[in-house]
Amino acid sequence: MILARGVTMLLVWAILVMGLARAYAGEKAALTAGCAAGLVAGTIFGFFLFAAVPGEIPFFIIKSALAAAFISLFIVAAIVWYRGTAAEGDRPSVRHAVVAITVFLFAAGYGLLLVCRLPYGTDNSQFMALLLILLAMLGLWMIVYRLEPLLPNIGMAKGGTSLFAVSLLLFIASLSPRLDLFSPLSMKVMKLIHDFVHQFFESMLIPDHPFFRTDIWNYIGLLFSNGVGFWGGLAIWFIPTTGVTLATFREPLPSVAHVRQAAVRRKLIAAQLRERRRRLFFPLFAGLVMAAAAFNSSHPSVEYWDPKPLAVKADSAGEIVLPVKDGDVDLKDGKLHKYLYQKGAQKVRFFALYRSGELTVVLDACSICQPDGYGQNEGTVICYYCKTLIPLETVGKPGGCNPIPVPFAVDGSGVHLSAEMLVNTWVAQVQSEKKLPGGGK
Amino acid sequence: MPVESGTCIIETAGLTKRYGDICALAPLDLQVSEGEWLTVMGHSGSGKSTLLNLLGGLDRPTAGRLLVGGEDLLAFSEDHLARFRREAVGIIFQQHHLIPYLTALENVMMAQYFHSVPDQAEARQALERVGLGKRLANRPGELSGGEQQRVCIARAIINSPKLLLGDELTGNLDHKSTRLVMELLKELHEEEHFTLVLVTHNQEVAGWGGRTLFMDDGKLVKDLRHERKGDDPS
Amino acid sequence: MLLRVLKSSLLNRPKAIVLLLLSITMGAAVATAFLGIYGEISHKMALELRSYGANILVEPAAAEDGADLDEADLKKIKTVFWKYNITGFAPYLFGIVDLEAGGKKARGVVTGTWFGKELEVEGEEPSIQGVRVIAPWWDVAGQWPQAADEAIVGVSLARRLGLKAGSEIVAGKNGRSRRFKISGVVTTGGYEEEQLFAPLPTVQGLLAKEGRISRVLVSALTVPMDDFGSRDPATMTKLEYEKWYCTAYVTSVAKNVEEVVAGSRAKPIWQIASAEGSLLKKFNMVMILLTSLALAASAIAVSTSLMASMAERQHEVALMKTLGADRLQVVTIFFGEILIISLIGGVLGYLLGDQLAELVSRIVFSSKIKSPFWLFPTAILAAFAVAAAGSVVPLRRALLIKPVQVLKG
Repeated sequence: MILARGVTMLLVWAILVMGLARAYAGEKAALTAGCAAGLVAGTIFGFFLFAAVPGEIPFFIIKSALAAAFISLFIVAAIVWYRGTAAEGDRPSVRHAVVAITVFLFAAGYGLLLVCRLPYGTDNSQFMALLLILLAMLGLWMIVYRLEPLLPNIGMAKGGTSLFAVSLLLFIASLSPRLDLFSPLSMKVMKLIHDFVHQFFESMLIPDHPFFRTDIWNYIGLLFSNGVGFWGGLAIWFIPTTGVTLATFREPLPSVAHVRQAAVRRKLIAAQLRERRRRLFFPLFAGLVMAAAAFNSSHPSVEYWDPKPLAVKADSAGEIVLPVKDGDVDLKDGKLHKYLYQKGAQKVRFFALYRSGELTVVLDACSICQPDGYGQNEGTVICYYCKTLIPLETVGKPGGCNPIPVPFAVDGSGVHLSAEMLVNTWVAQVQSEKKLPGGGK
Repeated sequence: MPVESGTCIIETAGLTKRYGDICALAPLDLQVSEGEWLTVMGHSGSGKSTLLNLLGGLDRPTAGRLLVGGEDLLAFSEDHLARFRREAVGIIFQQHHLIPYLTALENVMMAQYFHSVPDQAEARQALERVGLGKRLANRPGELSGGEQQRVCIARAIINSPKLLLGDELTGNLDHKSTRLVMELLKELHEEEHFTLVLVTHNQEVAGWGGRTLFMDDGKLVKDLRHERKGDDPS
Repeated sequence: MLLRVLKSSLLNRPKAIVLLLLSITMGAAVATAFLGIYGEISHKMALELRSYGANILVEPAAAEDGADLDEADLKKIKTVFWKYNITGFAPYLFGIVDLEAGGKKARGVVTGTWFGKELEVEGEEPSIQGVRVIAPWWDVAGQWPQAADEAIVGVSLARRLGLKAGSEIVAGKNGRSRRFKISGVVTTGGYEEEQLFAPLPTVQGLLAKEGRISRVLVSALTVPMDDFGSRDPATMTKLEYEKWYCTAYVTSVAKNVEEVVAGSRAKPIWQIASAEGSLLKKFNMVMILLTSLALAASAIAVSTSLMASMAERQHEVALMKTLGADRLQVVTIFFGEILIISLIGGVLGYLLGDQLAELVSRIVFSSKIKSPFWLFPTAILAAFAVAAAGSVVPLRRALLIKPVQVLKG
């Protein structure tokens, strides 16, 4: 799985660099320098972020940055819509710097996401990051200096570059449910519509008359259906790409009225049409990538849902408190939530899961297998070590390859666990039976 | 009066075409000036159609040199030849060769489409110019032979070719239609300044041009410059 | 212009178009129907074979006749390591008895079992166990036994003795005898059709084997057997053994059960375990083969009808080339036509194939199927594939047309 992730990341990088190389043909030095610097800077910043800030905050920061990038696409689309997409005359003096800064930002975003996609907490994640960066650099050099002349000559529509790069970043984000933007977007749309309908009711704008009621209720039912969020989100999701595509498409061609001979005039028009059609490639490609991202987001079962464990700390009384609802995190969303508690060198992984109408807290290990942990799929969790599927209803019951349950208490402030108990259970049940070489992956 | 001493549009040297052992065209040296109206006469199998096909880039010579508008057709690839045909040449055949399921207008627009982009207004104008302004929406089956031939002419000149080629273009027409078509050609020739090469065995048609080549058995027999028929009012 | 040409071409040559449409529609319809049936049936088969059929047989380890197991151990099956993977089990006690019904006499097998017993095990949630759980395909004409003196009889035994629901039968052994009321006749498709099934305690009384059982059939959710799973546990290192033990192979679950039932030997019923895999594999193969054959056949049909229409239209192609169309432009026009036709053919084929699948499954499998959503894009894709495959040769032929030869005279 790690390998597949790495390959996907490198592929996306290759596509990103290829597109940028096409967009900024003839700016090889600025392009290479910007990309390389951005990648390194983004990765280092990512590691720094995860080391410095605890819990969900780094994800929140990265997600906000992504959302900002996504929103900026709307601005780009709006500008393009009103100013046209045809490339303007360049001012060479500024161009180097602009290119370098632009690609630096894209590459930095990529680097940040790269860090998020690495396995967390294992000792070799720095090493893997280094390896990936080296490979990415090699690919960058290969593409810019060797492959670039072979690429088809596609003009870049104005705004197409940012559309292209940001859509790729959103695609990477969609691979990880924690960074995905599309699902929260759908949720927001759903909420908005529901609130709107509520407001409507409260101000009594819908007459409560037996004749109207059934019809109107049917429409209201439509607004409350699950599809509303999805389709509404989808509509918003595609506005920037559609906007730029349409802007490119409807952009007026330069006048050819001065050409007197009809055949020559038509030839000029044909050439202009061809050129404009080429410029559609990047916006359309970005649209495809966005579609792939939306698909990933709504079919997350391609991978097991296996969030990075959140580091938690015990308070002075030796108690760990997990808030049931905290910002985006909702323990009762039916997904497993992993946590990592560390005391000295002893690490304890555990997860909370809401199933069959109640919360349960279990260790991320069973009493027999190597503690490789669990991932969640539809209706089951899977033990990574023995690949046994465990029905969700039985999570929290002892025995078999089921995760080891731990005592906990739920009250208004959240789920309460004893840190000492956690460590003791882990040491007693997980490690005592693992007097074997290796131990984990 | 077309300029006969203008630059050379067709220039051949030792142009030869063989089909296996049969020599369809013996080595031929020919120069045609821009704007000339050339008629090629001969019996069936005299090689006149072969010559026309070579000039129009529909066929490739076995040997020799062939320059049209200063470009060496022998060096062209298949698709390059196609481009040459749609941009520099208009061809009219004996049988009318219109696409049966398209209207007259669409048939003309087809040539525009292959050339660059279709332009309906321009195509309509071209048809009006050949006197078919009222038959735009008719399919070939609903047009007479003369009308069909005029659609072909409109289609052939729509892309402003340097060279217009006609292969027995009046072969299927009666005397009156022939005359109408020839008058039309004369008119267009004067306005558009293309070079016209007609292949025929009709003496009357030859009279409309200013120069006639006589061919027999693949060889050029006679190259005659003469008075043009349409010039005197008759 | 392209669209205009395509429209005119499609509307003005109805015969050729209908022929083409027909071949593409047939291809898409057959592919849709096959895949629709296939998806449904293989799903059903897998479901029945995997989750219900018993795949572990627990028998007394001792070889001699008359050895048996303790009924009290049954409860422990619900407490083993793999308890959550064991979806059901049923105990059996066999005995050869003299049967008498309506004046006819015969020797036969009486089997005591649980039909659907509510099992309470301490610390576990109550569950229903018995033949109704592990053999849901048993088809009972009548009622399942409710009372202690009710029994169901296998269909062939019932035929021999002329029994039907409501009749009475007397089973006797060693002087003891017992009267049963037949509540139903059962069709199982197996050897069970020769037996009489009665509640376990009653049969234990009849055979004087209180608290004893002959065998247990266990149905467990297992992972497919692989090379590692089929190795002999005795040859494994400790680490390997641990992994084997905590992987839900049918062998490791069997071993698990064997450990709690005293004096028993549990063995996987390989027929089911392997039949499941190989049957599905064969079914897969047949369906894929049939589908690709059908698609290939309609591709050939498309190719033929395109060839015919291409022969008719060679003048047209030659003319286009004369007008200066390059290869791409010629291909665009003809492929555009085919694309439109195949899109229509795909939609029609989907509708047709969907109906066909429903018809076939109603007639052959007498079950209603719900066609999955992915069939629609699949049908369209199949139509495209058929059209593309069928148009390769005709298009090549079109590109090779020499205008000089065709337009001559």
